This record gives sequence, C-alpha cells and structure tokens, in this order.
Amino acid sequence: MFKKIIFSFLLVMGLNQIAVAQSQTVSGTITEAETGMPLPGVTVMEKGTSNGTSTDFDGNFSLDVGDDATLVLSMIGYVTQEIPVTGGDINVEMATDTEALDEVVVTALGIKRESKALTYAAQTLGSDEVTQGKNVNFAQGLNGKVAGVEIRQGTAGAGSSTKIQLRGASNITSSNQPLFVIDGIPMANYQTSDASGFYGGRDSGDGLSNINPEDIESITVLRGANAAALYGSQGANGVILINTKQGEEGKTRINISSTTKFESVYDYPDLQFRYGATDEPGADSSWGAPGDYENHVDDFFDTGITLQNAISLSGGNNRTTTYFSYANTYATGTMPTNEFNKNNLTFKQTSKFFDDKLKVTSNVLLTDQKVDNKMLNGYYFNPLLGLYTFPRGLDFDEYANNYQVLDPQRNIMTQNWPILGNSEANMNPYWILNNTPNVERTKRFIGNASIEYTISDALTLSGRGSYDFTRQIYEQKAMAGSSPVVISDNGRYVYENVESWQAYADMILTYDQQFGEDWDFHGVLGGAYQKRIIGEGISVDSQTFGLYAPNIFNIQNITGLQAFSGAQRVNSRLIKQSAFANASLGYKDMLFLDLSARNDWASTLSFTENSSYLYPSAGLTFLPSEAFELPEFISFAKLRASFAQVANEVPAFRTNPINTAAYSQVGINMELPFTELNPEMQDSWEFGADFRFLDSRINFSATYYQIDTRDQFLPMDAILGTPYQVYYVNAGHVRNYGVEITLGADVFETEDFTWNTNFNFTHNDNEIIDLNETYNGQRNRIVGGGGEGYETFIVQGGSLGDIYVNAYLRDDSGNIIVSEDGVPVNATSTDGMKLVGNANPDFMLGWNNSISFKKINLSFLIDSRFGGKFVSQTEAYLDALGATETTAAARDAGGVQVDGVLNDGTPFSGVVDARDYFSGVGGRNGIKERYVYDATNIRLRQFTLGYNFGFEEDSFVKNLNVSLVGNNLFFFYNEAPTDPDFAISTGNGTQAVTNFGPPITRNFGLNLSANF
Amino acid sequence: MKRILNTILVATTSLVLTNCTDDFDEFNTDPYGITDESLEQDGNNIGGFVNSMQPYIRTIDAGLQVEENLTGDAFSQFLVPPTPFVSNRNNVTYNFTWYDRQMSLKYNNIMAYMGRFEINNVDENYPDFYAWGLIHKVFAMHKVTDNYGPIMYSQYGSSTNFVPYDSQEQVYTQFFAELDQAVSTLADYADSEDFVQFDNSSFGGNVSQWIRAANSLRLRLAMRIVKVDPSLAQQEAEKAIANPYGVMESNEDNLRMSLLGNMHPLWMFSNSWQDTRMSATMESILGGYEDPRLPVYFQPATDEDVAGEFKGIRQGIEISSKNTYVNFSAIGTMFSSATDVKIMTASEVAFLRAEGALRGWNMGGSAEDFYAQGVQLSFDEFNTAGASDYLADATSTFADYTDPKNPENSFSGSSDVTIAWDDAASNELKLEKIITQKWISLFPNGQEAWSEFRRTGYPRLIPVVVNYSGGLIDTEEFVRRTPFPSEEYNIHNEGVQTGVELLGGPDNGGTRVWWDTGASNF
Repeated sequence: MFKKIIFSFLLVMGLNQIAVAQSQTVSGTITEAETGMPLPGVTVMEKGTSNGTSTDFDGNFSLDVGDDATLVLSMIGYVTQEIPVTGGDINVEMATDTEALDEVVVTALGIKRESKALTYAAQTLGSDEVTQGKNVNFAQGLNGKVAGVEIRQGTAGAGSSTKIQLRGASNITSSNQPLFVIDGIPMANYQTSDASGFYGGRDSGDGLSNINPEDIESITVLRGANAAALYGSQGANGVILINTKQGEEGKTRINISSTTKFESVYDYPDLQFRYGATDEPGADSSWGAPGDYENHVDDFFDTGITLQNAISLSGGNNRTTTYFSYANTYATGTMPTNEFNKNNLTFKQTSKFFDDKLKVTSNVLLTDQKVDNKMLNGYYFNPLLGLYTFPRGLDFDEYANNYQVLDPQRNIMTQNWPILGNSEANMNPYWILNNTPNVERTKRFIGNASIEYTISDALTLSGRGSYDFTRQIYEQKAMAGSSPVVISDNGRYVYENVESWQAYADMILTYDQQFGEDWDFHGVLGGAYQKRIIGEGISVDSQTFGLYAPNIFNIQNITGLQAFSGAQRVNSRLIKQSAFANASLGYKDMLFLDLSARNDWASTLSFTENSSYLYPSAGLTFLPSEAFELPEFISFAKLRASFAQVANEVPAFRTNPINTAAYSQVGINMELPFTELNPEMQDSWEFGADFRFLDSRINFSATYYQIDTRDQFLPMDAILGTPYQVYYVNAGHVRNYGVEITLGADVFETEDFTWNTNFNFTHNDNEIIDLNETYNGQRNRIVGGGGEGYETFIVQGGSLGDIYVNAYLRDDSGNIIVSEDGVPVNATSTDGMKLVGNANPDFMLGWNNSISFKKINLSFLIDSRFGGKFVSQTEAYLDALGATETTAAARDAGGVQVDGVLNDGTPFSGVVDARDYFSGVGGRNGIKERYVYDATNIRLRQFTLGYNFGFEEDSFVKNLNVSLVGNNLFFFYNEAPTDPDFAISTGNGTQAVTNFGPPITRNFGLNLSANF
Repeated sequence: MKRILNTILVATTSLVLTNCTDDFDEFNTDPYGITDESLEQDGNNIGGFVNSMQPYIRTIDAGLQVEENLTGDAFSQFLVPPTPFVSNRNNVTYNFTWYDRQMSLKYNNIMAYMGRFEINNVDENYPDFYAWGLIHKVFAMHKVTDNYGPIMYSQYGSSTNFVPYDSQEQVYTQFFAELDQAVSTLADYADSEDFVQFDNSSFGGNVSQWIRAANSLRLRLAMRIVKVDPSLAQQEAEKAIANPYGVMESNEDNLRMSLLGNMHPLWMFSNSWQDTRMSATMESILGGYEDPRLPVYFQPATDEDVAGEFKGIRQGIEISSKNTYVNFSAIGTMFSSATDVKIMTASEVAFLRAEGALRGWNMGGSAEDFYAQGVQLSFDEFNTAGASDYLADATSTFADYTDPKNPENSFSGSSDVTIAWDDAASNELKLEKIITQKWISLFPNGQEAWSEFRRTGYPRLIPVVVNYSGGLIDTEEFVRRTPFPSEEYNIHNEGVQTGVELLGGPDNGGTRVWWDTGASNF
C-alpha cells in the first residue's frame, strides 16, 4: 500500500506544467473601492488557464492573454471579480469582502470551517508569529503567544524535546502532550528516550525539532478535546495543527532567509570563589582557607552560534502549484563541543485535473539531523558537575589544558583530575566533552499524499495517506581511564539503533448543502486507519560490565551478558481503526449546531472486552451580532458551548504483560494482567464568548472549560507484599478546570504607524477527586522520575504535579528539630515526605506586541508565570560541598544561625558551623525543603526590530527585511536559581526540578530575509 | 454518480468495519518477551523459577552494593567504603540512607517467584520443586527479617494494598515449619535428578546435598534465637543434627551460587568502582593473629604512606574525599576470577555446632573439636595452609590500629582473646573464640557476621567515630537493625505501621529485633 502511495506522488511530481499560447496584451490598474488607493498584490489570472500575474506596488499589471479571455481578479479579503477582456486598459475597483472577517480556519482532519461557526476555542498564529524568534524548534516559538498552552523547554540544547500541555495535565500516567497534525495528517511525535530522574537518561528529541520552521504557513491550536473529537483519543490533550506552505497560483516566489544568532550564558548557580579547596588531597569540596580565587566558570562556556539558512521556491498556475524548500540549521551550544546540524528538504505539489474536480497534493519532507554531545541529564557525564564543584584555588587551566595524561604502563591516555571519581562520577569537564562523546543521528522521511475529488457542488470525497519514518542511531564512546563509577577499566560503549514509523490513511466524504435561504448543512463521514510502531530496535549499554580491549567501541567487544539485558525492544505498537461522522447545521449564519461521533478499534485494548469504543461530541454556537441589532461598537459577538467525550486507549502490551528474558533469570512478568479494562473516558465542557469591538479593532475571547477524566488507566506501584510489582486499576477522576482569555487590540492603525497588542491569560486548576477505594487515602507513586528527596505522588484530594520533598522535622508548634550539633533533622524517615507545592503555575500571562512605523517594525513578547514551585537539586548538592555563595556568606558570618529545638524539646539557639550545617541540610538526600523556590517569573521572551526595504516592483529583489532577533533576553523577575521553565522530562515525573541542568542563556542575532 | 457514491461507501466501510481486529492480540504482545506458554517447555516455569531465584539469595549484581555491602558488610566491619557517600552521612556513619533494597530485592526476586508457585499450585503438582523453592526462600528471607525485624511473610500476597507484618517470632516459627516441609518432602526424592538442569549452585541438582543445606540452615536459625527461646533453639538445632542427611561437614557440602559468567559484585565494587576497602577491624584481628587468610582476603595497600601493608579503614569516620583512603587494602584478587558466591559453608556449621556443644546440646561432638574443625575447614576453603600452627597460637591477640591519615581514628586492640582453645576458660571466653573465628571464616558474607555480632557481641568491634544518627543509635551499643524502607511509609503506610507496632520500639537503627535481647550470652 505504501509503495503505491509513494509511487503515486512521484507520478504527480513528474507532471509538467503546460504552456498556453498568448495573443494579446492587457494592462490596467486596480484600486481599493473604499479608499481609491492602488492595490498591490492582486492576483490576475486568465480564466481557465495557468496564465497569470499580480499587481505591483502601484496596482498596475500587464498580461498577455488569448482571444476572448476573461480575467479573474482575486485577493484575500476582497470580493473576487471576473472581467471579460474587451480591449484597452482595465481599471477596476475591488471591494472589501465583508465576509472576510469570518476567516476560514483549518480544523480537525483538514476540514476548513468558518471561524465564526466553530463551537470551541481555536487560536491561529501566522508564519510570522511562529518563526519570529527564529527558534530551532518551532514549538518554542509558541511560548506566551497562545492562551491555554504551557511550554517547557528540554534541557538537552538544540534538538531537545519540548514539554507542551494544553489546559493542564489530565492524564496521570500516559502522555499529556498534544497531537501534532501536519496538513490534516496526524504526525507521530516520536520520543524514544526521555530523560527522567537524577542520574542520567537521554532525551532523544521528540520529532518536532525535525520540522523546518520556515515551511510553516500557520499554526492553529485547538485546545480542548471538543475541538479534537474527530481525532479521537490522540486529540484528547488538544491538537496543534500545522499548515505548511504551498505554491500560489500565478506567482513565482523565491524566499531566502538567513539568520545568525549568538547564544550566551548569563546566569548559572551563584558560586563562591573566596574559600579554597578542603585541605585534603583529592577533596571534591571547598571548605578550605579563605582567599581570592579565580572564577574558572565564566570562561568555560562558549558563545553558541546558530546559523539558519533557508530557501524556498514556489509558484504555479491554476492547475499546479509547487513549493520547494531547503533549510540548513547549524548550531553550536554554549557547552563546548556541542554541535547541531540539520538539513530539511521539502517538496509539495498540488495539481488539479478534470476541470479542477480532482485535486492531488503530495508532500515530501526529508530531515537529516546530527547532534554531537547532546547534554545528558543529571550527574553522570555532565561537565557542569566537575565545573561547579572544582575545588577552589587549584589550577583549573592546568586541568583544562591537560585533561588527559599518558599512562605509560597501559599506553593509554587517562584522566587528569584532582577529584577521584566520587559516587556521582565527578570528572574533568574537558575529559567528558572530548573523551566520552555522544552522537545522535536522525533521519526522517514523511511522505503525504491526498486526493480530493469534487463529485458535485455539494459532495467531495477525499483520501489521504501518509508514511512517516524515523531512524535514530545513538552512540556514546567513553574512553578508558576515568571515573570507575560509570566507565569500566576498558571504556564504555552505548549503542542504540531504533526505528519508528507510522502509516496513516483515511477517507472522508464531505457534504455541503444549503437548504433554502436559512439552512446550511455540512456533513462529514469517514474512516481512518493508523499503524504505529515506536522505538523498535536494539539498545546495548556496556555500563561498567566491561569491554575486552580498551577503547574499542563495538558490540563484539562487550564482556558481561548484563549489557544485553533488554537489548532488543520495542517501546510501543498500535493499530487503530476508526469510523467517524460529523454534522454541522447552520441557521441564518447565526446559530450553528455541531454533532460528531467516533468509534475506535484499538489494538492496545485487545485481550479485553472493549477494543471497540464509541464517543460523541456536541457543540452550539450563537451569534448575537447576526441575530440582533447590537450597538455599533460591537462588530461581532459570539457565544459558544460544547461538550465532548473522548475515549483513550491504554499503552501497548499492558493487557497482556509477559515475561522478559534477563541475563540471569526468567524475568517473570511482574505486572498483574488487566483484562477487565475499560478505555479511559474524558468529558469536556467548554463555554466561551468571542467579541470584536470598534470595527474589529479590539477582539476579546474568553473560554471556561472543565475536563473530567475518569477510569484512568493507572499502573500502581504494588506493595512488596504481593507477587507483582505493578497493578493496574481503571480508576481515578481527575478534573481540570480553567479559564483562557485573549484580548487583542489594534491600538494604532494609521498608514505610517500601527501597534497591535495581545494579551493571553491562562489559568488551570487540577484536582484529583478520586483514585479508587483501594488507593484513596494513601500516597501512590505512579511514575518514576523522583529520587534524592524529591517525588511527585498521586494522592486523592491533591493535584497532578504535587511536589513532595524531604522536609525539616518539626515539633508540634512547628519548630525545627535539630540534633545536638544544631543541624536540622530530616523528617522523611519518620514522617515521610512533605507536600511543598505544585509544579504547575497558578496562571500565565503573555503580552505580545507588534509595532510598525513606516518601514520599521518592532515586536516584543513579555511572558510570565505566576505561582508554582521549583526544586533545585543542583543548589542542594553544591551547598554540601561548600561551592555556593550561600555557604561562603555563612562562613563570612561565622556560621549559620539556627533556632530550633532538640529532640527532647529543649530550645536550641546558636551558630552552627557552616560545613556541618550544609552537609546535613544540603547534599543528595538533604532537606530539600530548603531548596524549593517560587517558580514565578516574568521575562522578555522575545524581541525583534526590523527594517523593511521596499524595492521597486521591477527590481530583481522584491523585498528585503533585516531584523534583530532576541530570545529570553532577561528576567524582570525570577526567584529560582535557574530558569524554572526547564523540564528534565516530557513525562509526568521529574517536573519542575533541575539537577545540573544547563545554565540560563539568552540569544540574539540578525535575520535577513529577501523575496525575489 | 451513484456508482461512485457506492464505491465510496463500500470503500469507507470496508476500511473500518470489515477490518480485521484479529491481528490485534498478536500486535499487542511484546515480540521480544517470553510468553507463559513458551515457559512451559522444559519446565521453565517450575524449575526455571527456582533457577531464577538462585542469583538473589546473595545478590550477584550491582544491587548488592546498597543491599549488603554498605550495610551488613560495613556493620560487621568486614568492608568499609573509602567513598564519602552523601557527604559522608550515610549508613556507614549511622545516617541511614539505603534501607530499601534489603527488602525490595528479596521480595521482587524471591517472594515473587514463590508467590507464582502458590498461584500455580506447584506445591501440589510438583512438591519437590516447591520444597526446593522453600529452601531458597528461607535462605533469602531470614536475611530480611534479621535486617528489619517484623516483615510481611505469612500474609504475603493476600491483598494488593495492605499486607500486615508478622512478628519476627512468627516468621522464625514459619521458617522452621517450611524447612520441615522441605526436608520431609525432599527425602522422598533423594535420588531424583529433576533439579540437575535448573541448579546453578555447587550442588548441581544433588537433592541430598540440598537436604543437608536445609538442615544446616535450620542450625543457623536455631542458634539465632537461642537467647530469646533457648528450648526451641536446642530442639531445632538437635533436629538438624539428627536428620539422617545430616549437616554440611566438608567443603564439598558448601552451598555456593554461580555468578553466571558475571564479575563478582565485590570485585566490581572494589576494583571497578573503588567503593569498598578492608576495614580497620579486619586489620586489627587478622593482622594481630597473623592470619594466613589475610593476604587471600585482601591486597596490600598502595597508598604511599602505607604501601605494601595491609591497611584498613575504620568504620564511621570523617572522610572528606575519596582520595584519602582509596589506596588502602582492596579486596583480594581471588575475587577477580571468582565464578560463584558463597551462601553457607561447612566451617560455619562447625562453629554453630561448637556453640551448641558449649551450650550442652547434643551436637555429635565437643566444642573444642568443632572449633578446630571450623578453623581447618575455613583454611581449606581459602586454600591456606598452617591451620594447626594457627590453632596452637595462644599468645596473639587483636593488634592496635593506626590511621596514618587521621590519628583520631586509631585504636588499641579491642580484645585479648587468643586463638588457641582453652578448655579451662569460661563459657563466655570460649564463645568469644568461637564467634571471632566464625566471623573470620564467614568472610565475605558480612550480613551473617553482623547478625551474629548483634546476637553475641563478638567479635569485639570498634565503635564509630562520627555518628550522624541524630541520637537514634547509641555509638557504644552499635547499630541494631535497618529501619523499614521509606517506600513502605510512602505507599504502604498502614502495613508498615503494623510492623512498627510488632517491633516494640521506634523504627530506627537503635531498636533491637526480637532475637537480639541484649541479655547475657549464657
């Protein structure tokens, strides 16, 4: 089947455009009816041909046409006109299309709907807004621009994953990431390896970073399940629709965009350089003599450079349009040796046949991406560990320049480092960067083809197919001769080679008909098939089990069978078949009713009684502005309500857990098979209002939603007293409710000066109303990713994302209990961990502005989050080693003033030696309560300043834009010791915590784009 | 037009409705897993399960580090880490940091398999395999109760979220009953070769040897409860000796488990990770006795201050940097080529019989003879000569210890006890000799040595210098147990509270378990 698809679009690509003979020249001027101003950019086509042009800056055009030709004049926002050629100049006034306010949005399954008819919240960003910040991963360009969206960037630098939540998390265990759809086809957002916890773990990237941002025409965010009912369970977390650029009739365009950006570190943990190394050979701490020591950290970081160069060519006639683009992104990180290189090639062609009744679109996206020395998470192989802890007063340059020395006996280079590998594998940062390199290569192919056949005016049949394939090879080659904790005597080799692919096909019949004057009907009937395999392949890690010969990195050289435990794997497999129907009924353009139903058959529910499940949605929209005569300042008013139910299947293999082969034993299945399973059910209610005032210069949209997720599939950590480690329950009732408000205004709108401003407000509350009888009233650890005195527990009455940490032991009056030496006591071993807050913000506010003055344009985005907590394991660890400014200040003051009580209730007040204090309170399993920060932050997320050179229409260069671009420029407010938006994992664990994550960086640069 | 419509409808519906969900089952089964059906071949779900338990009686992989090496091995003062884990505030300095794995590894790798036996009625259908499994279970689980005190045992598997703990007394009672069942069942299969293909132990499937091991284990457990229930202890000990298959008497009877081609975990900790070293107590005792096993157990130090000497680290001292002590004596090179780990040996049995005889029990010989036998067996086990000269040494005592890095850690020999048996000595002194020699012979099984130290107070170990327990553990009283796992408090709070209640004291390292009465030895 897929061979056929590929063949068919190859065929389509091969079709040549047909030239048409011309016999007369017609020219003229087109002006705007209301103002009489010349109208540039109007498409002028000879009807029935591919022959066309567009008007210049003065509204003039000239075109060779055949005899008895008719010109079709069209432009978005204006009424299309057909003018017969009668000889002589043609001067036409074009009237604005009053319906143009009712912009058309692409909704689920690529179905185009008038925005006014939508019964749910949708927000669209144009390509400018998406690519403005010139982010390597376009998803990060959405930050702060869309209400209801929370985005956290991964910590692995360019090519890392992005954690995106629409309307908060509702799934306790399964992913809360939204569905991404490219041109109507669900895209597999492959992430085969996610970092979690504190030791390591690799972020494989999530596939979004594969996309060339310059190919994006627009992005529409459908926030709730209501919008996404037609995508089924995949759309339960919301949908982000990406529409890619395509060629336009009659215009041949070449766009070149070139960006050079510089990334620099502007903040890292507040370290001290005035107390020296602890007076013991090989110490990894700095509890020594006071002095004035060199800051070795500043010079370590590089200035990262990002070069993004893209070219696109597009054009076409009224039968065929073509879009081609190539982009190269090259980036070096602030971490030396980190390098990212990506090549994107996109080819898209649309052709029409049989009097435009058959439309064939094919689209191929190729990505080749290579990342060298991607940052790994946590302690292991993290150069920042050695960098930040490096005992003060020793000669860092000496270790930097001579990070390796020859071991003459073995004739190999070994690490030169004053700290003998401690249990966190503290190593020379330069050894890590140069001698334990990792490289990740990703190749991706996405081929889409769609056919649309207009059967009659009312009836259209379309079919789509897509094949999306990714192979990723990851290797790490750690040389012999450094930390024995993570590398064997002879080195360590990690090899992973996995593929992921998805085949998708659907067929949709649409029916559009007006009944009489008042009734408008829109119906969809369709079916879809989807087969997806993620992360199938081989994964081998020799860890410290050993290699036969030193520094030879291949699988054959691995000793120790343990390296092969779980070597062959597949993360997940899914076949899903669906049938769906949707009907929209419009009455007098003022009342719209939307009904849909979907039935899915999912392979992951096999072995249960419920592999088939049906769910409906309904929505109602009312437009008072159409129904009544409203005061003049109200240009548009709309009220909407919708309800949707979405069922979600469970992860692969859970209904039939089987045994695994381990090196030493039959790894018996430790999951209790769960065949009484029901699909998860999510009910969403949404109410909203959209208004536009003062000739639509002000727009306002507000939505209230409530999402109830029931019967969640929960793998619960079984207690040790049972023969299983994991039990599944179909339980839980998690409720999200919140408000999203967008407010936008064209503050100024004159010929020379415009200022557009937009506010996005998001508030989401989450409540775990119920787990089930068995698990209510206790703490349940659902997913991994905690440790070191930090956990996220699921507790009835709590919220998803609740953070629990090691806390101070306190007496009944809340006094901190200290030991005899005055060091506070950790409460965990007697009282368990304590709830200190939630990872999610209380509300978020984005303020986006774009201002233009003549040819100068300026934009800035201020992004803020209020509330939520953030935990820094980095600070805790560094405090225990006396590496932070906090510990230096304490030493300056002679110690830490502690007021508490002893275990027997005797009050204690005194100055405690700083080292004793921070060794007890800080450190790996220290009292994390001290290291919980308010995550509130306000930042200048994005800033651009550009100049548009408008050139004469007949010049070779049509337009040239030069702009300065800056991202993450500074914080107006931030209490956390790092960027609290960093996320180690895109999963539900390890949220709002950092452990030697990257320093905060800002980037700025220059973009040059030219149109020809 | 109609034709087209029909075609569409047929196509659409055929795409989804006539689809086959038949392949769903196969597609939703992990292709790289092992199905239960395939395990039925060759009895891999019966004997294969016992085989799977074997590597976890004494964990053969890295899990052993926090399970035993940083707990029992340190508390018995066999091995001490040079590494200041967790800013040096860890188990070794009495700030309990690792106390989960001692429970979880055994429940996940021993109890889970036995639980599967219960579910599959293996006790009825394959009583010999069930009996064999029981021996593995008791070997493994007594370590768990010895660590914590009350544990989940009789009610194991009764509920998914609440399993009450049993008192240690109840657990020991069940141990004896399970050994009864195992021994009596296996007696009917004494010549069976059913176990051969599944047995990765030194017994190679020999059922009689397994019965002998079960009897020896009974003796070990009987002696453990001697202070809390002397009559049951005597009764069980004599039962072990009286059994027709007897107990381990030669080194051929030793129970050892294959490493399955993997590196010995202690070699990994010592050589690869450099996280474990000889203790100062080892240096004091074996050094003072000029014990020929010392150079077998350990390598000379390479630290420039003490190069060539056998130099140990005192447990529970101030360590700021791993460099300070890392070049003290590492574990002996015999571990580099080890192919198995030791579970229980004839020398331990001899020392148990020596103590039994000392207590006047019918052990089939005299305390003196068994004492000499124990030493001889241990010398043989480690391929060292000179046992008789050693046994005749009536002058050597524990040596003084000097810490070249920090004199505060130095100490004088903690005991004047000598090696040679002295029939005129008090029972207490005789016991000290027996347990001291047993301590030496048990190496490297620190967990058992720590239990016996707690029971008898021997050998005279050295208190920690820094004690970060926050007053919970008395330095002079030493650590008495492992606190219940924090994981139990987090997800099984109701259950662990029953354990705390049965413990009869606060859940910390200072509370004594049931058999650890703190009373005098006689």
